[in-house]
Amino acid sequence: MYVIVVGAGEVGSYVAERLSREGHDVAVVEADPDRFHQVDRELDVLMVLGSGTHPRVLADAGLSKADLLVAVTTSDEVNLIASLLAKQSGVARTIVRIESPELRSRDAAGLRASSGADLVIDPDEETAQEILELLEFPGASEVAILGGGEVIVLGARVPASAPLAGQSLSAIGVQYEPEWDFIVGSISRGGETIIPRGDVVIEPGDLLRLVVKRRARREVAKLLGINRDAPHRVLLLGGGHTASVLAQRLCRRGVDVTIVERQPDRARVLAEQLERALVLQGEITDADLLEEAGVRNFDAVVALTGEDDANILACLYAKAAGAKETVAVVHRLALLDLLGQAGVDVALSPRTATANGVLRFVRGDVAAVATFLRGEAEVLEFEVAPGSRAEGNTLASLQLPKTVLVAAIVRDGKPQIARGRSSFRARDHVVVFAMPQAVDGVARLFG
Amino acid sequence: MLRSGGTSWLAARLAFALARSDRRPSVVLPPVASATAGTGAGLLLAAAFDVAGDGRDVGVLASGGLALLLAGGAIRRRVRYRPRLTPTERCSAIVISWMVLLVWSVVVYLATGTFSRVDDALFESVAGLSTTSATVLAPVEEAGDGILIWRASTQWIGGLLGLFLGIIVLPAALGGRELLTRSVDRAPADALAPDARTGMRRIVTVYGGGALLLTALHLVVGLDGLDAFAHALATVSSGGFSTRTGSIAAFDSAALEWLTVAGMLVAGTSLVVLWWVLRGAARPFLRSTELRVYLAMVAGTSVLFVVWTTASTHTEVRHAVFTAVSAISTTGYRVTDWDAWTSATHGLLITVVSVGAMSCSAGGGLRVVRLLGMVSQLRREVVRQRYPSSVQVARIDGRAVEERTLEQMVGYTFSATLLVVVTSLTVCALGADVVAGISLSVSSFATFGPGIDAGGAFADALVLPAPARASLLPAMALGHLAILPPLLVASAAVEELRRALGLRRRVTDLRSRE
Repeated sequence: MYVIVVGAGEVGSYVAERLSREGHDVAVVEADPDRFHQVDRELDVLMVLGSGTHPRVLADAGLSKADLLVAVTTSDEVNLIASLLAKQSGVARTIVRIESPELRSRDAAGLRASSGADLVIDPDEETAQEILELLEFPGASEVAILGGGEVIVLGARVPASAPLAGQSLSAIGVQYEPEWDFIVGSISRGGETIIPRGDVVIEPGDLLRLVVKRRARREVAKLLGINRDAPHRVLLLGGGHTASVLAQRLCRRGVDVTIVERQPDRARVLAEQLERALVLQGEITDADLLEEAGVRNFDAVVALTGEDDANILACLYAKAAGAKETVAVVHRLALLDLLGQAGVDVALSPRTATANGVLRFVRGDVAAVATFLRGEAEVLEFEVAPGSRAEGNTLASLQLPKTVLVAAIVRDGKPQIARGRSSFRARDHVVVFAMPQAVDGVARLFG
Repeated sequence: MLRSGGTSWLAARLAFALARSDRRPSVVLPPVASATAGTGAGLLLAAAFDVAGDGRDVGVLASGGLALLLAGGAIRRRVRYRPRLTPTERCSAIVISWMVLLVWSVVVYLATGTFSRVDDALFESVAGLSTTSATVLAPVEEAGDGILIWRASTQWIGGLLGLFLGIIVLPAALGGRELLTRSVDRAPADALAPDARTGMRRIVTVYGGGALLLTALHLVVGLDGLDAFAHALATVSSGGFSTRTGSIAAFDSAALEWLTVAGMLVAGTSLVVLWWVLRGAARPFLRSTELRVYLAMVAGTSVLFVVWTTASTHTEVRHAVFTAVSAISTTGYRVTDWDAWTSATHGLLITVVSVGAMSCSAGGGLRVVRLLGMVSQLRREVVRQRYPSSVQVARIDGRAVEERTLEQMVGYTFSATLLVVVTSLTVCALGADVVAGISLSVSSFATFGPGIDAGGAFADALVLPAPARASLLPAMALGHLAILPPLLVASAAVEELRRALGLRRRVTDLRSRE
């Protein structure tokens, strides 16, 4: 597939990298020369310098042969125009990033339709959604909801006190016969991610990803040693778009929200928007201000400014002061491994959320994709197509490679953990753990 | 006849002086001319009623009216507003109109011999134009039919100027326009006052239509033409002048009392709300906090009056409800002597009178919306003390109020308090009883009228010595004209006067080094 990515910011460059790694041809359009040269050094893709609103620039990027255009600059207007130009040149599909709530509202449905966008994404919104899911499972460092909400993928680092620590997977499996409520999908240890077999022993400090039935989520959280109540008081450090979306959702659920924002004007806007939240104006790394906010009394502290160092510092301070849960949004992946040791509970990057949306769309036949920051394993959701190779067969008979694990099957809204004896029917939804190189093979199996 | 000749002569002199101005753009002359012509029209209307009665003042009213109408009309045609008036100039135009009406009204009372003393004529005129029901006409029934209509007309036109000020001029001049469209989710293009001219036309239509409708309803419940029209004018403007000394009680009619309750309730409701009700799109406005608090105040006060006066008969309950609505809409009609009521009812009466009716209504007082603003302000001050870095927004109806608007609300509330305190002090110093003095000051500021322990609810300001009575006038005028606009005009006038007299501040020699 030939893909043009307009905008080589954080989201655009990550999407380009992912697509390129999967073997697609990618061209990236970027207007800012500095950013252009930076990305040009980092990625092995065709780079074009110029605005995505200029037909000639898009033509240089290969618009005539493109199958997909992904417009993800931070300007809604540029993205919409790029999509319009692409559609007029006969590009089959476009993905457009739109952030302004006005353009996302129903009043602007006509505009979105006439821009021809096949998928509208909002990275900030998706980051907010992801943080919200994390807050719902305090202690987990990753959460993905799949199978129509019936299956949850929980990622968490195993504390020494957890009941699962020190046990082998086959021993755990025997304990919970005959009906499993969860399965270990992947283990990350020492910078390496594997899809484990029965003889692997879970060690304290491992990052586990468990596929869990929704109704068993509390018991499983207990086994992981992360069973805590959802937060009642949340402190948001940084008042960007993500924060305001998050605050709105939290307020609607009756959570007490406090926001710290640096810029007085933006703080005023937030205070006007959010009737029930308390807005403080100041630096998030100002210890006095955090004390004034009463940082020790919060169940969760989320740092989501655009500056990694401020986010991390504030989280460290909050943790030291006694906040139960800290979440830092970081943009540089290299920092991630440090954070777990330093005491920041969760770190996430806004780009994965967006990339998941784009990848799902590119693959087309996949109902959902979840990729994670740490380790390469992906979680995919497929619908079993009638007449596919999997239909009517048992899991054992498919003889899948070691890089693939079928974790759960959702049939008529009822989830079950997949076993060797489980068989597939058409229109079942299956949740699969796979290493990237195996993704295409799995897709063929169910498609 | 001689007196009416005096009026005409004065008008002619004015016309002559202004005739030479030759369509000079101005801020002062057009409102002077319009108000003069308006006075003329009002007097002719009064003359018509006088003819139907005993016709004792018809000469003065008709000739004066004709002269003022012609003179005012002629001048108005020769002068024009400066193009693109600033909001401040619009404020001045309203205040100037009001003052011109005041002058003509005093002249009319003196010319017809209704009052022999200038201060009495002034009191009656200010009370009328500020829609306060305080009167020095005793007994009211002795005045001629024409004068009674003129008296009621001053309230109607005073109320109209108050609406112009509150809905069109002040929001543009001082901020707060967002409060008017507070609960509208739709485009404000359909609003009551998308621009000044359309706004004024619609206000006159609704307000005038209301008066005519109420006149018709009055006729239905059995009032004669004079009473029906005069009371309609005084009710829609929340004025409260009656054609009887005994106010509404004198008619002893349950139907009239309930009708008046409804009329006063509507008069105290925001015209913006009424406008959307008339357009059949009132739903968003029915969620307005101000409307709900207003209605809750009416209901709560009525219930407390009923309970505290141990009202048991239909008449007693009706009187309690009537008094509550009359107080909150600051109309000032009376059906019962509340001096006989308990002290708790007096406290409540003065409290609700000081809060008053909704914003954008003909009623007076602090207005419910400012109460909401103050409560929100207090709340945010408390949070600010706990979290000094917090950014706090004052809200009305869940939506943020602009700082400028809030500032203006706080300023208004403070000035109002100061005005009432100074008035109370003056009135008491000039010989009024303390309860009567304070209650009459609050009542005058809110353009209600009657006070407490002032020799009976029907006795009014008459119990006060003349100087004390006169000291209530600034409170009425400023209370009706929203305090700031008259001060604006006064400061502009002082500046103008200084320039005219060549008064200059001494400037130190700039070159001197000392």
